[in-house]
Amino acid sequence: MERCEELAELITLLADGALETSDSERAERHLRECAACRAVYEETRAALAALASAPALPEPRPGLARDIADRAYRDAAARRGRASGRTLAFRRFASAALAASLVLAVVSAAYLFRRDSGFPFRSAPSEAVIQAVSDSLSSPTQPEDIVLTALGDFPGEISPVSSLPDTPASSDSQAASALPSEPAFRALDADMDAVDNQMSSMWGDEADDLFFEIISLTEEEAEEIYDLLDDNQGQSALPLGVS
Amino acid sequence: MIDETLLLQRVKAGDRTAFDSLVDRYHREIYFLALRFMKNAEDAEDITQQAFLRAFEKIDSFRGDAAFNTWLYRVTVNLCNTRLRSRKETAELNENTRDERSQDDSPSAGIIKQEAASAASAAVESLPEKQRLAVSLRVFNELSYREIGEIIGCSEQTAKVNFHYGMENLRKKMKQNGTM
Repeated sequence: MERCEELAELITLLADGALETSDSERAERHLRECAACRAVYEETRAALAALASAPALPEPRPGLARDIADRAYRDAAARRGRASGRTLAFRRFASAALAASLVLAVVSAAYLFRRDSGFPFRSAPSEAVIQAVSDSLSSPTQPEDIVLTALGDFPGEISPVSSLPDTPASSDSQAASALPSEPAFRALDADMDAVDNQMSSMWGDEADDLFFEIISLTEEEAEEIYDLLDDNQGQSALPLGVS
Repeated sequence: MIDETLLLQRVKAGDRTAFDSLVDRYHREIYFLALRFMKNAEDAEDITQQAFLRAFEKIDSFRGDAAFNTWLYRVTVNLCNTRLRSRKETAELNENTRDERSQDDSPSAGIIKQEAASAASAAVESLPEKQRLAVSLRVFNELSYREIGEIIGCSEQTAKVNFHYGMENLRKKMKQNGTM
């Protein structure tokens, strides 16, 4: 008889009705021989049945689907309107051509690119920005502080992610190769969405401008950064078709 | 029913009626998913709205590697987690839900069954996040383990493992509180 612990997962999946024939036969054979596992199997089926009989959830209110679609179109129209008066870099950013998670990559790559490749800062970054970037590079913790510190007190709760390199890049290609990996993008996606939403609610349309203010980008420099990001995206398998 | 791939192509081409159809098709299941997380209709509605807004904004970058509803589920789960984390109210919400459920339960011949169902639902809510998601998405949304893996960011096999441990913990909790 096979050991119970080796079959525990199969028995759960058998109760769920999710086993292939060969695994199913193996689990059933064990159940015929083992009373303890039979009890576990029956309990699992009972628990699943209890869950399945949970009261139906209340339906969404009538008209919700219509409101969702209307709002999506209104927001899209507003975004197009806002974008029309902005710089090229800003339009690309605001139109969400880049995922929200790339904001941090833009900030970090731009900073490293500028600092280490000889591009002068258009205006001097504040001490808070320099310190935050420096801290982030020396210890790979909470790189979003680069943004948050620069913007002052940020009321949202952002969980830490470790996605930036812990050594400075010395060229643009190194800056590109140092962009976050897929797992880091996954973590950043949720966190930066929170930042994005919170910033938008606090500062509205000015939120995106502030990002570029912080990193002091001109249009051409922003283009170069975006090119780096675009090149790098071919190597970064972003999750579920989001690029 | 119109093929989903065709519908997505039409949305990308700017066909508003196609997007309306997508919202019609999926808004209930997204709302229910959000409601199971958020425990109140107002938040569930807002999350549903946000999920479709996000999908609409990013529709051009959707390559179809996963099914559209799986993609939408993942967006919804992320939105719910972000909101719950930021509020740090998960524990209080669970308490409120238990209270609301006990008030909603009316005496009937099937009261024992209802109690077991309520206890099982409450026990699911107290599971670690990935186990809770695996059990909830499997039982309530009837998704495959592959789809669950895509939503919670793990392999199909890891989704099965999370489901197994979730069910194991669920059984233990139900036995502890005498509903099994």
